[in-house]
Amino acid sequence: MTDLYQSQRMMRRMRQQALDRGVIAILDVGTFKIACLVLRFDGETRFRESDGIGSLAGQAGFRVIGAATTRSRGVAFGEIETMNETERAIRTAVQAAQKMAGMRVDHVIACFSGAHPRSYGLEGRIDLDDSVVEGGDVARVLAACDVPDFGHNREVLHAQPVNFSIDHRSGLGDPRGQMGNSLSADMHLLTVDTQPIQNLLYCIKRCDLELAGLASSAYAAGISALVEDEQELGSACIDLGGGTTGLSVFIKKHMIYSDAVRIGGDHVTVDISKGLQIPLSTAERIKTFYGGVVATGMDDREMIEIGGDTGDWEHDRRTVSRAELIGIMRPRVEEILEEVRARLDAAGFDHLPAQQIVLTGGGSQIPGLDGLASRILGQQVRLGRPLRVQGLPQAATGPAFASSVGLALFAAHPQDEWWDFEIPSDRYPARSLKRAVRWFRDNW
Amino acid sequence: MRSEPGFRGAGSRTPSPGAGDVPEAGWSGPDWAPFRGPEPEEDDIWVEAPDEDALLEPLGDNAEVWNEPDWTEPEHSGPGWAGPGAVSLEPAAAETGRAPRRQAGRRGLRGLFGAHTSDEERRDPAPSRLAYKMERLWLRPGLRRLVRIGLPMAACAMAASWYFSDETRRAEVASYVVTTRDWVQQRPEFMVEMLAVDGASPELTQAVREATQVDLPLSSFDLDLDRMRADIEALSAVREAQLRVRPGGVLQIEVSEREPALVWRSRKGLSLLDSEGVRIAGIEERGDWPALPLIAGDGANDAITEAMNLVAAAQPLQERFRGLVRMGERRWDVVLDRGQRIMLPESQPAQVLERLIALDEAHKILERAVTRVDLRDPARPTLRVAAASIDQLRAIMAGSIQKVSE
Repeated sequence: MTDLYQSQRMMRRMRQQALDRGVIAILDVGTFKIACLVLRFDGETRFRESDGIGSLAGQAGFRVIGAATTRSRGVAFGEIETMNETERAIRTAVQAAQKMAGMRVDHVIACFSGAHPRSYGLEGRIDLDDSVVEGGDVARVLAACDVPDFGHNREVLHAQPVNFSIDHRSGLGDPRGQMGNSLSADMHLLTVDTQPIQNLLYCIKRCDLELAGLASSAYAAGISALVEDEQELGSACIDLGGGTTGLSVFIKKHMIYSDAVRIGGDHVTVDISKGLQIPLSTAERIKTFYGGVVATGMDDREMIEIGGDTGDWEHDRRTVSRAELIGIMRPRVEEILEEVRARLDAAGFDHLPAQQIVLTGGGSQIPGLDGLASRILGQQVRLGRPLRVQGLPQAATGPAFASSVGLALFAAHPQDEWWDFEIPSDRYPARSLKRAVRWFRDNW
Repeated sequence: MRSEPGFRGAGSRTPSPGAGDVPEAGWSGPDWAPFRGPEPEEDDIWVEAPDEDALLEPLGDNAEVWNEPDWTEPEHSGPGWAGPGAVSLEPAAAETGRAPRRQAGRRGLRGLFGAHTSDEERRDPAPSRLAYKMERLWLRPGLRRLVRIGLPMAACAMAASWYFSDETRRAEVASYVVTTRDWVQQRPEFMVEMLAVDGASPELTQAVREATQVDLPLSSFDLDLDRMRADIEALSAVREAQLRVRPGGVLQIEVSEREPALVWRSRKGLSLLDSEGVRIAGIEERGDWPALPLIAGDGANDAITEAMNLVAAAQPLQERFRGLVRMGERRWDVVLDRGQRIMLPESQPAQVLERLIALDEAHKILERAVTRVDLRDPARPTLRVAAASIDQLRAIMAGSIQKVSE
């Protein structure tokens, strides 16, 4: 645990270095595509601490100067499967984005969707030494959280304090400076499998890039696709990706739950391919051109030529009606949404004050999906598109880029995580000079 | 077909295909909008994708990247796929041109999913590790500057130093430079043919011409105007000279002469002085310059300002004024006709002279038989009367005494 803690701190230092240099890259490693954005920061003056999150979530401080996307290779279920292939795809995307930006990037913030994310709610409680809460007390209360045993091959991806309470007063955003006898904190811990992270780190390292941050893509999609009051009042963002469907639940501007369903748009494509006996490429194409989930009478008459290149005329002249295509797609989409429903129910989404559900990701572009989703997930369903950020090319403003844009916002304005607070003095390694300094400061 | 707009659902949120959907410069991403592209008709099966091709063509290698999701490309526009109508509409496109490229794209997709149908592999769009590293290296601004500016400069410097390392080549270049410089300087545009002197009397003009000492024609690069100006101004009659080379090959000399203000009779003879006491020229006859007052005596030219003041103060006596004499190089005498002299003190001679003139206007002193008016001590003016007048005065005085005594 301490290793990751240190490496997360190191990534934060990398991020700071990158901001000082003014350029940072965003890498969204997905199953279907790998997107790379190059951000240029014009300086910290544009978003000050005192402004809070600021207008447009503070993303006015950066500008997208390079954007590239390439077909993902060697990635399945949001996890890297064939390292060499993925490394090449990352290289392709990064190089194209660098070329567009005309600038070299050394630091990259990455997100991925797979690796079995699992959420834990942690609680910690301490008695305050003196009655005023200080920064060190926050660190102590976070350190006092009892960490569940999540297995030895799991790593903590996010550990965000979501709530503080002093004595009986709960719902505090920032307890520092307040008075009380005891301080308790709720923390949301997101763990993922170690192996996919290791693979991703290796690929990024092979591309001569420094990792300046890691995020879950469900979280990043939630940042960009949910508007501010949705984040405040409680909502779920469902990121329908290629290999996985990520979901993240937000309330009071904090993510409190995240999970992933390992079914996505690629499975729909595979269903079409198998059902109609056509190549995957054709299946993908007719899915994007003619796909849907609600069939009407008109669709029985709309014939789609699915073709083939066997030379057999009868085989190559096959057609299907759009209704048949919808008949293949709909059960799979329903399955995805029902899985999501099950996860949301398990997470207790029903208890949130507002239960807005936002569908985003490339899969959310299926026509009629919002109608189907509202039948399965509840009435408050809308389709979400990522926030508009400066300089983002028109072609990258679609819902498929929700997590890329969210990651850009994350890069500009990361939420406080556990490792952003000072290390409590009793956790310092022995014979640390800092510890001595700390001791002096505490006692004199 | 899918003509009802209400049907599209999510599609209505995506950017509508067509003119409003022009990508920004530099971005030519894959067409993610799945509802984009021409609406399929029975006999027109999106065979033509001229817009996309035009978009992708000039991008070169990058196009491979953006071209990636190949399903947005019409894969099946080959002859086997397109309906009879399409073949008849676009036989050329179906038979030639685009067909091989699409074949390649299809093989690429097949290759991705593990079904190699052809031995011709599609080129991998990913840069090799080396190419990637080189590109990143090239994006370093320092290295870029070094290669773009430093390297050519270093190459030029090396080439030049190698070339000049040989003695004969150095001499060649030097002689070439000299020849070229002479050739340019001897151009007729730069030659001075004529000398023109303005603002001088004919004698002075001649003197100036002699003083310049140039052999025309001469290149204007070889003229030393400063030296010539110094030479000309060394002439005593020249107060100031301006030299310039006028277009047309004329060396123009503007001379301002010194104005004669006084005639000075010295031991060496008569000469003209200007108002600053500088000797302009010697003259033969006083009568040649009747308008100029005359001064005499050693050192008269050193007190020329005082002399001018005295001449001005003696204006009422102009009719009788003969000249000024410098006595002992320290004070002035005013010489009038009939041998009269006014001896002035060293200090403030002009005021003393004015007082005398005022006295003269009241009492007509100078009209009487006075030979000297000695004002050297202003507190004790003294007159010297002519000897005959003295006698007469004595006689008168004696007569009066006699008359008194009688």
